[in-house]
Amino acid sequence: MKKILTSWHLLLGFILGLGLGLVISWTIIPQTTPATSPSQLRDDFKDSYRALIAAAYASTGNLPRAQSRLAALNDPDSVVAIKSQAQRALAKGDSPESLDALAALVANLEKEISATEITAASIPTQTPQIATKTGIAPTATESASTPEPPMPTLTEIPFFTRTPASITTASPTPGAPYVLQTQDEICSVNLSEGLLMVYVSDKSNKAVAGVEIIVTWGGNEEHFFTGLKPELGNGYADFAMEPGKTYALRLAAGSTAASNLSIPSCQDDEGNPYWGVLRLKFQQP
Amino acid sequence: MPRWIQALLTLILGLIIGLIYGWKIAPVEYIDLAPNTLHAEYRTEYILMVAEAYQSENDLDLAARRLALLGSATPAEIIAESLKSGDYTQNESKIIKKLLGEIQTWQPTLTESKP
Repeated sequence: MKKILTSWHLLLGFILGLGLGLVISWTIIPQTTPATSPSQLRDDFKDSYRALIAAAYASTGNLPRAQSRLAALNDPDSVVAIKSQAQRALAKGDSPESLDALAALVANLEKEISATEITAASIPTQTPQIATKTGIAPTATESASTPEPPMPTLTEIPFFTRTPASITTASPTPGAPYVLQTQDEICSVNLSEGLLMVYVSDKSNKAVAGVEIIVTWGGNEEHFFTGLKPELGNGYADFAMEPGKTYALRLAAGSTAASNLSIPSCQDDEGNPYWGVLRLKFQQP
Repeated sequence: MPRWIQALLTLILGLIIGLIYGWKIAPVEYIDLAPNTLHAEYRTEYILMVAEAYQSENDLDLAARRLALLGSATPAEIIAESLKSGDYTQNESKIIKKLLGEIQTWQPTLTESKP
């Protein structure tokens, strides 16, 4: 103990030196970034970068190049990132060319992913070992007779498109208009305020993607689609309502109209007001 | 050894450790940057993408706006600099030179602001 007390000057010197070193290295002379990558860009610049990748891809059709460019952004999932961006772009009213480029890129990325997964599933892991032992190259028959269950074909997730008829997922039965099944007001602080959530399903209660939804208010009109947020379900779509406005909503494929829609007013446990969420469920009869 | 020399030596030791930690182990991380800070490798790739997109879009205003994100120099200067320093293939250089040729004579489209 006495030794520690008599060595305080050493401790003080070390702490001062350490502090000085950190101040110099973090604020006075910080290390210059050796490589500023696209992943370090601000979010709006990342969007611009992705849009440029899509535009370049629309011109060249070089998917591997587009994939390597997207990889530089370090998105956890490029497809989801592009879809989210497309929805933001759609809400902002970006040019149709820009949206089409994003749509084409994401559609081909999904095809590529599906093809890769299906190819990986169709090649049995045991086949190369058999070929090595016998010296005979694996044949198509060997591959086909593998006991491995086939990988289910991935359902193509629809993306914003101006031709919803081309969407290959569950599609509505022609001539059967959707019916508004439920309309709920949800008060939850965990949900975005003023959200209009729409769920669309077919007569077998299967979520239907790619359904065009038309929302109108005060002479304005906006179109959006189910399936753009697959993590929330293929039949899901949402729209941000503004307080004090009244909306009407219908499905372009034909449905009963939901009118006089407005943001529900809610109160939290402490009596503070906040905006709730409106949930509509459409189903084919 | 005098105490002040001991203190000075430990201060220097602390300083060295602090510098190593701040520069090597946990350097300052830059986020939310603008494209003008992109590393040369990504900068050349960005310019190539602008040129590739221009091939199908034929929109010089849009190409110039995209290039403007790379700095305050004129679009032509940005492309010319990239052509000098960038490692492009022959075909890529051709695409970029085409854009450079056309953007050199480009005049920004001015829109009248309404009162």
